[in-house]
Amino acid sequence: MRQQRWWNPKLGVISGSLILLVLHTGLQFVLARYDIVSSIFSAGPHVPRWMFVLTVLFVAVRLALLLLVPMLLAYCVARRIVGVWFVRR
Amino acid sequence: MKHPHRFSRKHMLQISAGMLASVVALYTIPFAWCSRGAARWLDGDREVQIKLARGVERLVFDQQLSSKDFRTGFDLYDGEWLFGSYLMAGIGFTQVVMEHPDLKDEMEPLARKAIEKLLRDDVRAFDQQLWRADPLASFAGDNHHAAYLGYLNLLLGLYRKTFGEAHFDDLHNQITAKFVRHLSGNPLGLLESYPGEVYPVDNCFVIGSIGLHQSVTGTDHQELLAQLSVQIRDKYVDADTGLLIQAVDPYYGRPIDVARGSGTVLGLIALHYADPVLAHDLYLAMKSHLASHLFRFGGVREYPFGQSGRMDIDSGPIVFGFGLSSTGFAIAGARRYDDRAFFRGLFATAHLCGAPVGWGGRRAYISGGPLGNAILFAMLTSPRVNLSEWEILP
Repeated sequence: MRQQRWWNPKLGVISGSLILLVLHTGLQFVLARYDIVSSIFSAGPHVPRWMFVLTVLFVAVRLALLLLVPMLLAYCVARRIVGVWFVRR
Repeated sequence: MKHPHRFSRKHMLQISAGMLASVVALYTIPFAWCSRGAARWLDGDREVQIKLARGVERLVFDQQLSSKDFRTGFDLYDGEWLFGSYLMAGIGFTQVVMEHPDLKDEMEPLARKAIEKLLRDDVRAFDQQLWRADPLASFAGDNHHAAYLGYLNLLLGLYRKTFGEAHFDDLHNQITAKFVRHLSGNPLGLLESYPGEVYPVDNCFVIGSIGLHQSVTGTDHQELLAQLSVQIRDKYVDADTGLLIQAVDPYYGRPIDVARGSGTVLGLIALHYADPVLAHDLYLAMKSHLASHLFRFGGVREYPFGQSGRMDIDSGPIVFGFGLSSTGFAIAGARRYDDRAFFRGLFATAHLCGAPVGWGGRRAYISGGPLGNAILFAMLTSPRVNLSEWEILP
């Protein structure tokens, strides 16, 4: 049996999307739970660096999840459907 | 070694179908996801309003905010942002009760607290520093203080109209009397926000607050209001676009900045209380010359189509021509005039960029901070208008 590589689109997009979803939910929870945005506004430049990093990471993950993932998933599904259609034809 | 199937018909068809599907997905899924709560906001859902009100309360009141919490790089803007946080929060708390009178007991203390914060020395310090005079100690003087007093007076009027409480009646009457005195016979028809600086958008709040005072107290300012409306239409609305001029010179009232989105959409919110027809005309001009969308996400340009300009503290960041401020402030107009499709687009954009979260019966936009959340709260609760009679709907 041929081994699937981690970057193979058939595996990577689904697993990558799930990772993004989990990461987004987790970051959202952490940012709200520890009131990180308010802390950044309150403390200004004195805020711990990890808070800034988490916020930037959250924004990046959110944009990827909402814009990129639907495109990639749709791409994979369409390719798969066309592939199956060719085999059955 | 060559790959015999790389450019096969099947492969090409697969790629084409995949790309088509991804474009369709980009066009539909993110927007559907981000706009899914828009109808509840448009219809005045009680629960969503309460949750955001509690989130704003947490962000604006539960911490001791000061101008040092805002890092714009300029003391004046830091002070304005602190002022804006309390102002927009107060407007939001008041507007929730306009739509849901049964929430009066919960919202009235919050609105009163917002006004009390606005009256604090450190909150009005930004205005005091530029005028070199205390805005609340100079009602009889010649200084206009339109930036501080105009916005404050509108909130005082909304508070008085909505709650019927007398806590700030004297202050409301005194500020309105000062405005009426300065504007009567004023050739420009505008007051100075700061010494030598005149902004029509700030004056929309001045004029709107006079209109609101008239509707609350029954004092007749109609002649003055009619004259001011004519002056705004004739001198400060751009003839080509119908948008509000952003800034004028203090001597002759000649434009020193172009007509822009942020001033127009913010100004019409307050102007409604003095001249609802003019406010609606500004909204229609905004729709014609500034409103657009990207993958169905709605946005409002800072500069009209075909024009470009600089980013500044009024516009906020401009991305692909869309202004952050103008897009956010336009939510109020879309809700006010029940422009459902446009509201949905703007709401989706706010959802995408703001990243709302809920916790413990509260809701807040993660990337908004105190000011962003307070602004969205005030815009999302902006009262709807009966267009046939120009009255605020209950």
